[in-house]
Amino acid sequence: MDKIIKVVQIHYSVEASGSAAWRLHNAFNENGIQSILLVHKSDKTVDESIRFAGLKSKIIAFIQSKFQNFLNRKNLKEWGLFSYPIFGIDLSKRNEVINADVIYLHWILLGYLNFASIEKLAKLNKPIVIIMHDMWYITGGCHNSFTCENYTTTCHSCPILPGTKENDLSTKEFKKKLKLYSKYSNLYFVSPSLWLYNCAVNSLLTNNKPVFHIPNLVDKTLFKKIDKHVAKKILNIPIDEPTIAFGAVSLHSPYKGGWYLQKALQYLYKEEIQNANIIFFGGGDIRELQKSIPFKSTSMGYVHDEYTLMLIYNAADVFVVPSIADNLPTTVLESLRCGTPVAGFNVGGIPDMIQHKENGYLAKYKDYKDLALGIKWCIDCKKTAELSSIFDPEIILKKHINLLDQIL
Amino acid sequence: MNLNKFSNLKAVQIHYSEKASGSAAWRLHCCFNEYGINSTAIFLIKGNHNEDNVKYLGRKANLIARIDQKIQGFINRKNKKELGLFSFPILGTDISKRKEIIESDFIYIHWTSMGFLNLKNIENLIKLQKPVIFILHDMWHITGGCHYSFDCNKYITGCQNCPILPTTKEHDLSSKEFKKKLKLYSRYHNIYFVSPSKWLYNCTKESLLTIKKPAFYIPNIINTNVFKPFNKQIAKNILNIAPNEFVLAFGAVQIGSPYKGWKYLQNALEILKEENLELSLTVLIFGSGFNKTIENLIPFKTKFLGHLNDEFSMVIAYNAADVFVIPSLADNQPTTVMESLSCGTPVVGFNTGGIPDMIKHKENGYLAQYKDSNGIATGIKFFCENKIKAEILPEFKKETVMLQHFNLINQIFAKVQGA
Repeated sequence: MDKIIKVVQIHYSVEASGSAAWRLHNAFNENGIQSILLVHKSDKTVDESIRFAGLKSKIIAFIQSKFQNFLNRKNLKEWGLFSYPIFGIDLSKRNEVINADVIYLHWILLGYLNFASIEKLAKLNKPIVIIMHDMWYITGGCHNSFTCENYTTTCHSCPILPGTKENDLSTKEFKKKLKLYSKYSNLYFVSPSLWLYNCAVNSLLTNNKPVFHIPNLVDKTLFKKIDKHVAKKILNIPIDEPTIAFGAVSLHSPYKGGWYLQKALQYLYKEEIQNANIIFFGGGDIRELQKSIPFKSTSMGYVHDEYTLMLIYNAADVFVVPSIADNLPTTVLESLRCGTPVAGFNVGGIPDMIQHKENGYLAKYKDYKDLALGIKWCIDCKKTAELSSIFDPEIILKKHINLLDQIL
Repeated sequence: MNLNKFSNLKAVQIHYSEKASGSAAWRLHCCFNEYGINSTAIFLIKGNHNEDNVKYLGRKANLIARIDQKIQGFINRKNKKELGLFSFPILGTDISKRKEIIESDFIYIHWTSMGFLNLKNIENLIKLQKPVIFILHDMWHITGGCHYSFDCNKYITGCQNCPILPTTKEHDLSSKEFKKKLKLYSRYHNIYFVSPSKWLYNCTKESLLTIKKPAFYIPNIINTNVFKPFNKQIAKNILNIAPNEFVLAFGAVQIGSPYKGWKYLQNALEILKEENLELSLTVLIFGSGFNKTIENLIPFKTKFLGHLNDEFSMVIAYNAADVFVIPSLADNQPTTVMESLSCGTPVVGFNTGGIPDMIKHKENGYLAQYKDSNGIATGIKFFCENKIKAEILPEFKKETVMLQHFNLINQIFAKVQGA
């Protein structure tokens, strides 16, 4: 490639979950691809490469969230989110978008973009790379379908929605997406996990579309192994007791399986070990969860900085990811980069990262006793966990460059 | 001291935000609770804590504050920016009827400018007849409106013809505001002024506003459990800095701020460069993401850490540094100095404000002559040649500081009961 490729990455926010977009953005800029992030909000230090959608977008998103909360008030919350964007803003006239050769669309809901705004971007006839952070792009509205497979044919009788009609909101939204996707041939779908890649290949929405599997990127120089005792001392965690960590952007999310963690820890205490320390990090009030587990625990609150996250992973003897639905959780990549083994259920993209009894433990889905055994196995294994080389930043970057080569 | 007699007392801490400078209020709140005195903290800006004894004000108060900031920004638009902030709160929120306030036995008012409390709101709190303790985070409580007076001494007799304000009238806004404060303070006997630095304490003893008022010197608290030394090589490795690099750190949160004296550090770095030292030096910058302008002005390797939110990240950064430089021209008791010393990293700064309270020359740091870039450069070189593990001075230890607060409370309540 002779001339510099210009990429604009559209994403809701560059904090926490936004880190996948943020890291790809940095990796592009460090490797000769000019990337601009166009976000709804950001808590990172703003430099010229991060642009905001502006006040109008904020107001629209606020109204959207009120509307959606109202309309979704009767949904079955244990099935997670259902999004059908009503409002959104048009970014197609922004200079950042006009000047770009390629548009990367990440997570754009909560009132940032709607179908009309996506269509306006598609009309520009630039290649659009859609990075799927969950199932929303390939379903009629849910972010994770759990056991439901209706999206492979056409969404209907959605288990999340309160009604019993066959042609419900999910059908309507599914058809809208189908119409949109089939009208444009400049859409490319990228899944960070093999699981979601297979879902995309099977969804009626995307089975005729080019779908790629490219994992998310985690910096090797930031997340790395340091002396465990030093990490524990810095965080004031006893060095002679095993430390179990659990963290998520939103600890109460129905996808993250807090209930299974609670059960697994109770079982672990009863059957195996009594002297462990639990570290929680992430958003949400977890005092109830803390009270319900028999171990000592510390809540680090919402951690903003990668340096502090790195300390926590290093201080832990095991990281637990009790997710019952997940794509390619960044926490698992980060923990393994820091050499800390991970115990989790065999679901979503988690088996992409964990090799059973090598760098962690894959427990039987929703079997909390097996998860407890996994935690115990990780504590006892006493070896540095390794992350498979398919997650090396250079390899991932190369895959993106190949993709860009192919579509430009 | 027998703390039991305080155990049924309730304190309330009022501060703008728990972040940044708010950490002093936050730490005091935590220490009170740790020592068995119930403390509730009230912040205007929403923060991260969900304990029952931390309250954040709602949308209305925040909206009022933003409007106040807009109004002040407009009225202050012609001020001499190089002399820093001038605040004269117009709007504010009355919190005197809040349950936490009513139930409290004494009230700590920290930094409440920028549309949080106006003088009327402060008066409503004082009127409750509970002891009100002002913790001075800068000079605002003892001047007609500036947060630092630099070489101006008019607050001693009565502010007028303020050098910050654009007008040359004798009876200007500063004089009006000064009189308002004087009237307020002289009307009440239940107010106490605590300064975290000796410098500000002395200013308080001189200001016409507070000359007759009970004033105290009690430093801010540093959490030595969190800010502590660990292996420097590991800290450098975490930040991807070679182990043999000499690392100079400084905070660039408000690089344009007239208080922070960044250009003196820049000059000092130029001086070091010209001396062609046999030294591999990296400048570690806190509080700013990559900034081309700053990078171009620094004649050494740079590493930008971005804005750090979490205390443990700061601990890594301080530990990775061989010396921390604070070129502040006006500062009370800068938290960064305490944090750095507490992590074992010596500090170079000017002999100004509360900085000499914390630094013992050539022991845990280096005090350069005010505005002397050469002195800063010499200080940096001193710590290249002398590897010193710094410590905070004993008077800043948590137990000592808390004892002073308890003495103060004891004194106040003895007086109340005696009266």
